[in-house]
Amino acid sequence: MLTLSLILLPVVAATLLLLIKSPAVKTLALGAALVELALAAYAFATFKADAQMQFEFDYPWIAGAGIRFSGGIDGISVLLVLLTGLLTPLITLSAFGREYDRPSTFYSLILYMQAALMGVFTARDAFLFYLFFEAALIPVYFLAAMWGGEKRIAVTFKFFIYTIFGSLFMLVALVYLYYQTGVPGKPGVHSSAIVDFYNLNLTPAAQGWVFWAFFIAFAIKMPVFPFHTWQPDTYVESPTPATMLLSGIMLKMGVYGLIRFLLPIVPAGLETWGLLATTLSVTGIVYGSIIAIRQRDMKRLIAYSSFAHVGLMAAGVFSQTANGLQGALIQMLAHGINVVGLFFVAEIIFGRTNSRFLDQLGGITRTTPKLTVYFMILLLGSVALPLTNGFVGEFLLLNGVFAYNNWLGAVAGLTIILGAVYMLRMFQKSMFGPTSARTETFDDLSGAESWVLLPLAVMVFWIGIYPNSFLKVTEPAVLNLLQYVVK
Amino acid sequence: MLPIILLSVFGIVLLFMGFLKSKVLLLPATLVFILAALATTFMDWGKTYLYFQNMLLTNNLAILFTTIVLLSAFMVVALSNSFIEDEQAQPAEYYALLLFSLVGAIMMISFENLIMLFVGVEILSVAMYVLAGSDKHSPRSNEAALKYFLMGAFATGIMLFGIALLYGATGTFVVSGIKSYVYTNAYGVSLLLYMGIILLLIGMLFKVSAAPFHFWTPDVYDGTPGLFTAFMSTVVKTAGFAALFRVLSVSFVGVYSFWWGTLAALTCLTLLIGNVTAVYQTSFKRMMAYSSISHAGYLLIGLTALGTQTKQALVFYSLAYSLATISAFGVLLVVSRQRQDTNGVNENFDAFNGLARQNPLLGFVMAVSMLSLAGIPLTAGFWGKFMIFTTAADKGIYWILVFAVLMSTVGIYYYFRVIIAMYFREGAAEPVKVAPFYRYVLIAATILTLVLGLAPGLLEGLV
Amino acid sequence: MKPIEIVFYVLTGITLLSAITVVTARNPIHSVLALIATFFCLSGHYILMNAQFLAAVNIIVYAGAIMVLFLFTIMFLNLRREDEESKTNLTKMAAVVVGGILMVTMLLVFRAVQLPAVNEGNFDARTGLVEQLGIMLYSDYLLPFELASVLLLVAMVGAVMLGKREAGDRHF
Repeated sequence: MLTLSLILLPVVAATLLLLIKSPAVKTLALGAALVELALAAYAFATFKADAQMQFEFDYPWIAGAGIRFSGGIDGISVLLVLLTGLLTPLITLSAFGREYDRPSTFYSLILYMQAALMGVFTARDAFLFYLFFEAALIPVYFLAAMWGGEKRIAVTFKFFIYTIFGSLFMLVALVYLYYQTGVPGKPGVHSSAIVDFYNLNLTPAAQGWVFWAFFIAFAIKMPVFPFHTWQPDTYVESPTPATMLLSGIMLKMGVYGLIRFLLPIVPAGLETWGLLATTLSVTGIVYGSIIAIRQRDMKRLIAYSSFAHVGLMAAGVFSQTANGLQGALIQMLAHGINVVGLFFVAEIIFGRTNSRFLDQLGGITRTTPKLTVYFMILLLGSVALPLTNGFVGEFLLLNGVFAYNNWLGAVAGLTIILGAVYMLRMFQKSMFGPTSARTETFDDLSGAESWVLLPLAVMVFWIGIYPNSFLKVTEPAVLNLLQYVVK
Repeated sequence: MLPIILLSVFGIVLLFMGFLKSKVLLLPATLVFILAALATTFMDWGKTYLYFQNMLLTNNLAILFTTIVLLSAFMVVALSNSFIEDEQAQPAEYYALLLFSLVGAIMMISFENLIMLFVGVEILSVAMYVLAGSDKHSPRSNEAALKYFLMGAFATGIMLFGIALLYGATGTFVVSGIKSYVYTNAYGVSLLLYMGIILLLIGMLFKVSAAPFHFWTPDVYDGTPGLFTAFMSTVVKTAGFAALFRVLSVSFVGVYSFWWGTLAALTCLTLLIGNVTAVYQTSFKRMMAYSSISHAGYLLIGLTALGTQTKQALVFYSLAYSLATISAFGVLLVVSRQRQDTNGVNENFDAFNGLARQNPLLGFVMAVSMLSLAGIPLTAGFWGKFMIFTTAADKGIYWILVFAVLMSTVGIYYYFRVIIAMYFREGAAEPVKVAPFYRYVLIAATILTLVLGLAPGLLEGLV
Repeated sequence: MKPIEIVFYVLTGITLLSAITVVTARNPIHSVLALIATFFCLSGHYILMNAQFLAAVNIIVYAGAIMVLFLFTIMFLNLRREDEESKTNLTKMAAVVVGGILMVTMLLVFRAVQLPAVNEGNFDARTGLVEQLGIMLYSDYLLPFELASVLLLVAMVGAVMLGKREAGDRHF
């Protein structure tokens, strides 16, 4: 019931919001998101640290075909449920600063997105997962295309088609796997429960192409080099709440998919192609970081940094080690928090100075002590300074990748150095130095803005100082998953 | 059987009702007649009846297809009130022809004797030729009618030749009789049978606008008045595919290895031509014509991969496709009339600019239709495509599946052009006026699409 | 050669000649007259196959009613010589190829097929006569026969609907 209400509550709230015309719609949306956060926090708090699926629900959907409407939370999805529940009210609150026209549509789209994301992370049936995976695209497409920047129509369309193209391959693979399941003695009976896919014995050739089908779908979503061309433009042209949803939660769907589907179902495919996949991911890290160093637009810089970080997460997953997987899970949580905070800071700066270009900014720290502190905390989290969340994630990930392949691990380790370069450069150019014409009068954070950044900062330190509160929750499920991999 | 009798009688009644001074009664009367036919269809549920010495066979599958056809006709008639009023035409004849064409469609769905198939095809086709040319003052309508008639008559002639050859090979017109001939002569099937299958397929594939017999479709759909295009693209296709399914799955399943390769090649050609040409269209109506060709391709996948899943897939896909097409045409009709440009009725994509802001309801209805036709999840169209894909996977023909998936992606491009025009472009300032009853029909179709998209299991087990 | 075979070959020859004349004649009236000749020869073929009713109906309906309609239309439209544009060479080539493939396939099938021999004992010489046809039509095939009336009704309603004079039409 809990999981089902996690999915249905935002849907109901969003539909009701569509009917409300008054300006109170913003607070109502925030209220709904906070209730959802309470549910997600409750789920996290009462989660038992074992390898079982908890808070399950299971209803027949297309019962004759063995396709069921079933979901639940296990160790792999619990952190992502928490992330979605935590980030949505913060994203909603962050949108209060800007007056978006047609607010009821705007906020209900954010809530619909949250419902779809919750569905993706809690689905136990492969086709239900696919449905939510695709359904999550629709709200974010409308959010980006209706309230986005100038080039939004072409950019968001490219994003939509590119992503759907990838996931259609995944659909073919899922249908194929569905037809491979069966009950011996009962022909024509199949099942689409994900755990049934784990127990399939696929031929190496089949494993190869199923691997590629899944990889293409998730690689486009995350993105992984070279399927990343949609990402910077889409992140920049979207309105900031949409960018936060995209980078904070939606790209995690790709990593989650890798862990949930790719690793356990096609281990032999992973044996054959894993090195190539890891190399692509690591290439993305270095490539993204180098381009980020050259960026003048803050939003684009953060977008490329997100691309670099996700490359490390993917590499960690492909390393097939417990450390790599644990690192990916905690880094998903950490990166979501950091990147949402960073985009919010960029939005605050844009809101006050009407510019995101670093050469037009400078000296903001003079009048904004609070903003400086929060910005620095989030930045250091992104740079992976010890005691911050990023450090825990990157340490575990690099550990995993290094164990898989020393050279790739060494190259991936460059992310620490390069990340520090572009992040600190961004901070220095925007906050320090002489003020420019735009930044002379820069008000410090308002109450609502502080309320967004404070929880993020708290989480940065909580995960950084006491990561075990999160890691112990995920560990049994990760070890359970790995038994399918090391065959 | 009863629906056929009822609809014929009601058609004649409507012709007489055309003598009345006031035309107000015609639309409700037609709707009531269609509902009565629908009610009598369900009387045969659960049983398999053979009527009149192997002339008609009614089983659950035929009842489902008949329901889809009657539902489509109901929606088209319900959407017709504003359209027919201002034409100063005689609506009684149009409605009567629609009812008669339904007779033909039902005959095509529940035939057991190939003669019934032929007569049914002819009734449906002749009614469609007339309705295509019903806008007498428009040269495009005249062109559409003539093109459809000439090519259609030719195709029917070929089909009849095929039926004659089948008789020559098997000695019977009855579908189950042909099946037993094929099974008893498994190794020595007469060559005339193969020739007959090919010619019959050519005739039927023409009717459902599969490539390379699709050349009539864009001009005919474009020239026909919008309402009748909606009827043509849904009812004729549903009836055609029901007929193809019956004839292929009962009579010719024994020689599956002979015809499946040809049908597979035609499927790929249809998908390719339908999707790729639709990308280049600037007129919404023409785009819908090409898209209906591509949907014929998807339905053909179900036939190529004939198996246990095919029935369910064809029924669900036809239903999803009919709902989405008719609501899309419903929105097109009202928008193209009220947002005319220099050439009169504007059926291009730019007529939809800014529609979502002025008429959020119309925008939402059209968006859901387009998403359903594109096969995006949360709509019935996704599950229709999914079921078709599972038929191909069931037979193990994965290359068709991959090709269909690629073509789906191409399809998303042109379906989204409307959504982009509606939501993200600026358009005319005044909202489009929609009559209340019209609105209810569109809302009902959209709700049904969404409900089936979320709970496809509702229709499961019915087939 | 038996006399009946001679009749068959002569009739076939005339049929093919007049059919070719229909397609190739310049003057449309010649075309129509050749079509009438073709129909008469086809009726002759029907008689050879013992389908007397069909032969009679063919002459009455086709060579009689429909051909008269053709002549009237041609005379109304005042067509003289053929002055329509020819199709492009590509179209002609495609038509030849497609038609040719169909013809070759059908010829091969008809040559290779083994039709069952006529069973002399079972053969009923009255099969094509009106009485037998009537019995079949009104017993076994009653349903399609009656439903064909719906088809005729549709055609009639359609013809009247499309051809009716409306207010504002041009009068010729």
